[in-house]
Amino acid sequence: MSVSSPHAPDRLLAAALTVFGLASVAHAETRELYPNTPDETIVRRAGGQAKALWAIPVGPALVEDMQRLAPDRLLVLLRKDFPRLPNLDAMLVDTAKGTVVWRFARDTFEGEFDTLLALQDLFLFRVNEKTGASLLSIDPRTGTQKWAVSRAGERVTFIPHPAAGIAIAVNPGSASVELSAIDLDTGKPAWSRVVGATDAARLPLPLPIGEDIFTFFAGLERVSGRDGKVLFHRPEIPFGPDSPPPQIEGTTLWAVASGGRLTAVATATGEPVHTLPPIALRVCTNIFPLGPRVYVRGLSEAGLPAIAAVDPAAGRTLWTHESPDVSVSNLIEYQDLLFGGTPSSIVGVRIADGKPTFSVRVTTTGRTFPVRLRLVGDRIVWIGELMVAGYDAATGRLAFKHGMTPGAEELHLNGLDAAGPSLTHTLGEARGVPGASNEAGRRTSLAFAESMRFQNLSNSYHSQYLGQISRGDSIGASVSSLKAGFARQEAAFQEVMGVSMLITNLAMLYRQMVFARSIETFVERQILFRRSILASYSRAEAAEFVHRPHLAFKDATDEFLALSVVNLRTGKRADTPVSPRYLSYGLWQVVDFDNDVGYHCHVGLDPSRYTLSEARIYYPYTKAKTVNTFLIAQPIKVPR
Amino acid sequence: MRRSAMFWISSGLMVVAVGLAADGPAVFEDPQGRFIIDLPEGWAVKPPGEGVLKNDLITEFDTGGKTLTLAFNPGVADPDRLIRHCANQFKFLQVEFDGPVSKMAVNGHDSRWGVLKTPLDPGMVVFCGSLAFEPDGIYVFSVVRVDDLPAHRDKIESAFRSLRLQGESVGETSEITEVAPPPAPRATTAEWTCDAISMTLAAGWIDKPIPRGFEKEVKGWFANEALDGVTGFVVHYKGLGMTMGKAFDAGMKSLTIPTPSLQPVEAEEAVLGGNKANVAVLRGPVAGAGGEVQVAGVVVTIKARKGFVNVIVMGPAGYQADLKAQAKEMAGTIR
Repeated sequence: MSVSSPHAPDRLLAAALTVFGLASVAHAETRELYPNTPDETIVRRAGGQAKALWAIPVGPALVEDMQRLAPDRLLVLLRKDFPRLPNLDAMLVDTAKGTVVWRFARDTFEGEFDTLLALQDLFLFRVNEKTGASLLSIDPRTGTQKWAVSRAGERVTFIPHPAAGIAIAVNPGSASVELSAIDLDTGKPAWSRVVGATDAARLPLPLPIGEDIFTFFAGLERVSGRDGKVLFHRPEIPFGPDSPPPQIEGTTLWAVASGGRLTAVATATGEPVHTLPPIALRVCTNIFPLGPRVYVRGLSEAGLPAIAAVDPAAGRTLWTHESPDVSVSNLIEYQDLLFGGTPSSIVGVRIADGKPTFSVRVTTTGRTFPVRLRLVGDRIVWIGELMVAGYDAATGRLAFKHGMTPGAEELHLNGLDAAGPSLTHTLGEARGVPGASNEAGRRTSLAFAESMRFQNLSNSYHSQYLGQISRGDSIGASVSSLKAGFARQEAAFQEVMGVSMLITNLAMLYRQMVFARSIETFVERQILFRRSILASYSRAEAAEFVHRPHLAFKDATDEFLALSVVNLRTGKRADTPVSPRYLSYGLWQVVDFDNDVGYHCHVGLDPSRYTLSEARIYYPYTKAKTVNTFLIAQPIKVPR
Repeated sequence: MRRSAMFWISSGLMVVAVGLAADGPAVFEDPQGRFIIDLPEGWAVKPPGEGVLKNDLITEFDTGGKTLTLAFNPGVADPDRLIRHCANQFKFLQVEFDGPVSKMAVNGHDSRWGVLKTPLDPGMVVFCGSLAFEPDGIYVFSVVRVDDLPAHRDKIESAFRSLRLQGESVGETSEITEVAPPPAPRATTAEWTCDAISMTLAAGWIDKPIPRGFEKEVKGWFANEALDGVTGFVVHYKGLGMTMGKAFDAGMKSLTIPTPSLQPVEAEEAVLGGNKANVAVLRGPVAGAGGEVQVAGVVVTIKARKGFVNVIVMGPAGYQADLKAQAKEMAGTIR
């Protein structure tokens, strides 16, 4: 027998049975699409909780980015929910008043925006273009463009380096790579240099250090951010496509050079700090310095995901542990165990010898996602896409487990994978039984590339700092203050930029993937939603809380998208309905935990304000009008 | 029979006695803050997620060699529906309520309590109760051998009487009345008619109001009271240019657009009620509550007098065979 809720299976079907494909087949008339939940039910639900503080009409809009930058400032980038998702304004919102401070029109830009920097005196965006990308600077006080520079090339990358007052454009070619520094104040070129390098697009990207940068194109170089001059050059430390992103820990740069050689050099001089053994991994994908040890993740000789523990002081590899599941989280040492998260579980191995002694299965979805592990008291907490679960770190006993239901199938990664049959096939291949025979497949697959990036994302995923962002501290910094060398702030910005860069890179990867599979119909939505899931969820974590959108489904006439907050310390959870479920809205939610207010973009809980949009093609409908959305500030329940 | 109500009077006295004891009962607070329950001596909560029931809606208690299962039901606060649902869990035992059900207020919350018996094993009973924690609800059950009743009955009932929310205390159970058990799902067919077509609903199916977000071509929206989580709808297509193939394609899209993970696993051409029909069964995972469940959908496209009709049903994959059989059965009655 099974035990269930009277509606539990129903709830799991919530995304289904509400949109029908007939319209595109047989009818060309304009459809008017409303939420299933009737107005009286919405009003009743709204009456049971605090009213929205304000709601700014934004038309049929999807969020591209939303960040709380100061206690009373919210930066919002919108896309019109029309075919090809054209850009709508970027807005700075005064959250205390519920008014728009300024709007920056983006209708002349075709590509998506990635927010690279949001400082007191500078908003910096990467804007994708058909044959390259541009760097756009906006004045945060006025919302006017300060400058913009373009770079041709499909693989151009911008690395903001506020401590040096520059952004570095990295433009890899077939036999060389061009590095050019752009002054953040003026947008003018500061310096440039061309370095000979083969396959430069697959080499590690430069890494800011102080006011300088490390580059890895022709051996290891430290380059001055001021003038581009080489401060030291270590050609005997070459890098290849298999080299994972190097990591800086304190005064040491950790890197895996060509041939799998783990290297530790002093950041100031480039001189070796330790003599280290070769890593017994066929492919290294991630370096994770942790206290007195360094962990290197990758694939074993047998093609299995593996982790090697190195004791740099002793100059030896302590152990290598193979696992059938890839580790996609940050690593945590607690007492005598090293914990790592896979897409579906937490695994603990003994620090001393690498023997597995702890394993709990968290979820059945198995989808690769940048899992975040947190140690809260004596509990290890697994934070994934749709699940937050806490376990006793000593016994593995479950303390709490909270699952979320996506508001629509395209609002979670598995659903997005399934939306394109060829994507499903590709990802299915990538998830085959691991082994040497399919190593090549693994190394070139989207899933492998994703996992590798998720591992490296975990190095930058600094929750304490993200907690500060949720309290709105980031806009307090400026280019000048960062230049002045507030080391802690600088380090924090490196963390955030690391996350931002990796998400941008993932979006580029997805775009290549989706285009390669010729499913252009879905391209824009695929990219927007994949990127949004990664970006919004990576910011949905504060020191004590994690939040996610969650579909609270009673039946097809009583379904609400909620903002769900989990207290990581107590394991308690509280859900606040913020809108009836409707189409694919509601993925982005930002929370002000100082005032218990959630910001989101949806139709909201006041049906008297519902109006219909102009008609347009809305797959699968030939013509449809949808309910216009609002940017909304909603008081929420927080389980303290 | 009056035994169940008498149980409540006697166990109420017991709860008062335990409450007066120096140490009092152990108290279990749900980590998600959804309920509190007192645990009689010898009881303990089972480690979550380690039993057969790996679901954060379910909590199990070791009652001294037996188990009390508590199911939390978000958004369902109708105690009659909950206790009927609880009884449905044991339909494989052909259970029925042993007399009337007790209706009462447990710590101020509308509740039901009843005992199930089965002709397959007269030596076994199932205690089951339900309780409304607006807007959510709980049901509990415990399977007990008749021989073990003296050792377990009072404890089970007192634990149920202690169910409460944060900030509430255990009070006397009040307003105990005996009511008829909630009716079992309809075991016979029923007629359904709309402006364009009519159909005979298979046993267990009921008509529901059509949500406003549904297309105008959707003429009926149904649920199956006997199969939890199973829903269905009937779509009528008419007009020039409509063909069986277009209608079938629309039916497939109706499932695969909102749920792209569904993949066809069966397809057949059939003659139902004398009309040609196309039948497809789809299956795939759907994300919910942090996990995945396998669901199945069935599309039956059939010629009707005016146009074409799709009968589409969907539910947990475990019901796949039932879904297919019932969709075909109903489609064969389209007129």
